[in-house]
Amino acid sequence: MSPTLPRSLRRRLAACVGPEHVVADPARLLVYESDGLTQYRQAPLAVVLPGDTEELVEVVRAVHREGIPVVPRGAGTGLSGGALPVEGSVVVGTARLDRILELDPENRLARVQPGVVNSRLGVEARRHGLHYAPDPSSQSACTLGGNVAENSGGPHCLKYGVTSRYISGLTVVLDDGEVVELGGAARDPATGLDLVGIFVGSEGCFGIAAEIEVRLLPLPGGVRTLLGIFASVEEAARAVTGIVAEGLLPAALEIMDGASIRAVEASVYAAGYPTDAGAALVVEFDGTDAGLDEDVVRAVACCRDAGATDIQHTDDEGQRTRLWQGRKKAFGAMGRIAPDLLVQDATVPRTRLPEVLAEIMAIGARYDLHVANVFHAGDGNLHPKILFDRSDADELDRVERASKEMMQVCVDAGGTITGEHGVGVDKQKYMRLVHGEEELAAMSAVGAAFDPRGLFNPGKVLPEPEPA
Amino acid sequence: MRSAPEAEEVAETTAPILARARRVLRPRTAEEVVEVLAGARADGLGVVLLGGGGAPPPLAPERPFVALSTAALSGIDLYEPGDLTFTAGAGTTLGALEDRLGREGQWLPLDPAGGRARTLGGVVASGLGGPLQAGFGAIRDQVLGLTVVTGDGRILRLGGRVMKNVAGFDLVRLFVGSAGRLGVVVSASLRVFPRPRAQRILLLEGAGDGRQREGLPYAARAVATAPVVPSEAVLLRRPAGEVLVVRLTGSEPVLDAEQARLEEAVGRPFQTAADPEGWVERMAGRIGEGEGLGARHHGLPASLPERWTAWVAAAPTATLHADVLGGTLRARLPADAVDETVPHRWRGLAREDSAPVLFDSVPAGREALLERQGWGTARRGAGAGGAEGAAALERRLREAFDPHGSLAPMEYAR
Repeated sequence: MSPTLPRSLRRRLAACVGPEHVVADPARLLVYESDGLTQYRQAPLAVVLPGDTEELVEVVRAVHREGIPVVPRGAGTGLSGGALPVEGSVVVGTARLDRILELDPENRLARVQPGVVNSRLGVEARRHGLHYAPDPSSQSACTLGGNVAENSGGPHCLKYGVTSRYISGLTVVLDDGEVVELGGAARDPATGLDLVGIFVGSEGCFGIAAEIEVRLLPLPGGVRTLLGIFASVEEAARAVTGIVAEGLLPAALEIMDGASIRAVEASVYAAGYPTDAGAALVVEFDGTDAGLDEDVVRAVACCRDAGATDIQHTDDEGQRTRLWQGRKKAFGAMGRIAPDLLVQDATVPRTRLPEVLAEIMAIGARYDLHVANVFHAGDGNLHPKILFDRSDADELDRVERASKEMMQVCVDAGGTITGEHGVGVDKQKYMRLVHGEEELAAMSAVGAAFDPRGLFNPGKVLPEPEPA
Repeated sequence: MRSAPEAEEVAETTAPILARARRVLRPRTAEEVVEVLAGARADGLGVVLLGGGGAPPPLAPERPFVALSTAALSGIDLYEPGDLTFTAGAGTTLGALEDRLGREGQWLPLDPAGGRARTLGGVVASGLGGPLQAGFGAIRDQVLGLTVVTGDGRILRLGGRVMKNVAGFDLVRLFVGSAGRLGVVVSASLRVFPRPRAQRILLLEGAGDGRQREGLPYAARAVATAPVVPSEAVLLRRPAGEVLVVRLTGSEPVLDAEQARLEEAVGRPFQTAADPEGWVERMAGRIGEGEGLGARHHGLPASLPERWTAWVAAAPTATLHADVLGGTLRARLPADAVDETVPHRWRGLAREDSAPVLFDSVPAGREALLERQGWGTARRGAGAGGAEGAAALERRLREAFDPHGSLAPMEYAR
């Protein structure tokens, strides 16, 4: 018999957050059965949506008192199953914890609740001439709490870095509702361990962030966007190598391959990229306006030297959106080609990109799978996309086997199994490709320091211990 | 412990602590580090970690100890300019790295106190990369991977050498800035940056009083809130007077445009330094050599003018150095100017949100001047129980990596 929510706990939760914010009706639980990685599904006992920190603390305490695990959930846009409910768990959603508590332009800081949507903070910061740099492609939906849990990246982290660079302090709710303050911009960074740094990217396994202090940056004075069209991915990659060798530091360096271009151009998102192209490269520079035109001239020369067949660039916001269109809509466009889409995620040293891509395409061909590539070329972060139909058991099996081989290729090239999507449940099976038993044991010990009973998102990230 | 070679020559700044060490060992590999730790534990000795001797030395622990020097763990193992990453041993000096990276037109934008003589391992362990971090990101954001030996003698290979990596909990971050409390950094992989095409040092000198609204601390605030981010900005007070130093990097048109923006924000023209490298050194600088009393007083950048003014009043003869964008103020007084009232007065400068951390480099025999400092606990808006919870977490994490307290005697002077 599947476990059910104890009636007394349900009453206590309803009394705490209001009955309308406790979801236990099977039909309403359906939407919480998975996150962005839809091949895994599991219904929780219930979903609880606290409205403030006190309620959050009370909910965690009440659920943990029963020895029931808590699975934190932001917007559910994650791509590794981080917010996938664990069997017999209570999902604690942050949807109602969506207040920007403080915006401090003097210190370029903001204090927010975990349910604040990434792009909404951007809009608020903009009023003060500031911006929040990390921009995962789901930024119009994903939450800052989720970004903290996953240490999210985005196309602009080549220059700006990932989420962890921008999180200066956290108020976290740990086991049994204990509230702990970690870090803070006012605290001397030399006076203790970087508890904020280890909490960021812990994928909901340590606790739930109740308040997040983030660093903001002044808006760049100007932006220039360049689109180069190439006959092959190798040529586009050579342009990137040239740009790096020139000493340029673009905000973004994005490549999409011919398969991705054709998918976009066949969709409602058509951006006008030539469908016979082998690759498109988007280069973006931002910063003090006076230097940008020179950067563009030098990048154009790099593209031309690498064999670009067409180069467009712009400083106009509308034009910029158009040049980015193909890149930003690639995932959506893929979605219409096949019933299912697996977006893989791995990182390799940048100089190994061309050979690794060739091997990935060869693996796809060997398993008779449709593979397309979009990637953050500047930092070596690949996103091979595999199109398939989950109702075809044989194809699903081929997807699994091809994915594993792709991971191995990336690891062999000196890379890793995930650059920005996280491990969740999807990559646990690959963790031993990059970590030894000592390292896994150390991670487990760190997890236990935060969550001694293993009641936050259990069974995620770390693989099952090897049988002795 | 027997196989690791013993050190022969000794850097002057580490001499006082080395004089008290039972032995000074220079392991050449991670395995030899394991041996040193095991040997020390078997003999009931503590272990003090030493970098190249360019940093202020750690405070001498009370119990007998051996010194573990990372000097022989040096050298660049891997450097791929096209990847913008390198891997090097902990004992590699920043100077050696700067020279090698410079040949490829790249650099490591860090300027910790002590500059080129500092070791990579020491800077990683301290987590303090200097005021240049404002423009390029903190050292904790630049470290991609580490090989460490934990206090209980396990060799761990953490992270990797790729720019983005979320494969498991980020133990790299835990070790960066851990001041050797969890283990010994053996080697590190970091990201590097293209070296800027040009740089310019802007100077604004003041009368030295700093209290009037038009004083330098307020000009510094104007720089910190202007719509450009300089690579670094430092406020210095030396016997020669007060000066605000701003470093811009980029192409010439960028430097011109940013200088104009900053002058507009400050409302005064800057001077351009004739000897930029000299100022670069002063910005990174240790603020005084030899014996003396030092302090760090971190706080939010917006509170800098108030803190600065309070320090000028309380320590009129001290050298002061403030990272304008980062918010850390440092003070230093030579030993002959320190009497027993000074530590008391300096501690009195604590504010609601931040307290100074005092340290000394007064060698053996004069330590009564200053009681040993614990790790600071000042934090913003700490709720009831918040700080205790963080301390408990730190305790549990130390137990996970150094359960026998082998590294416990070490207290970094900052």
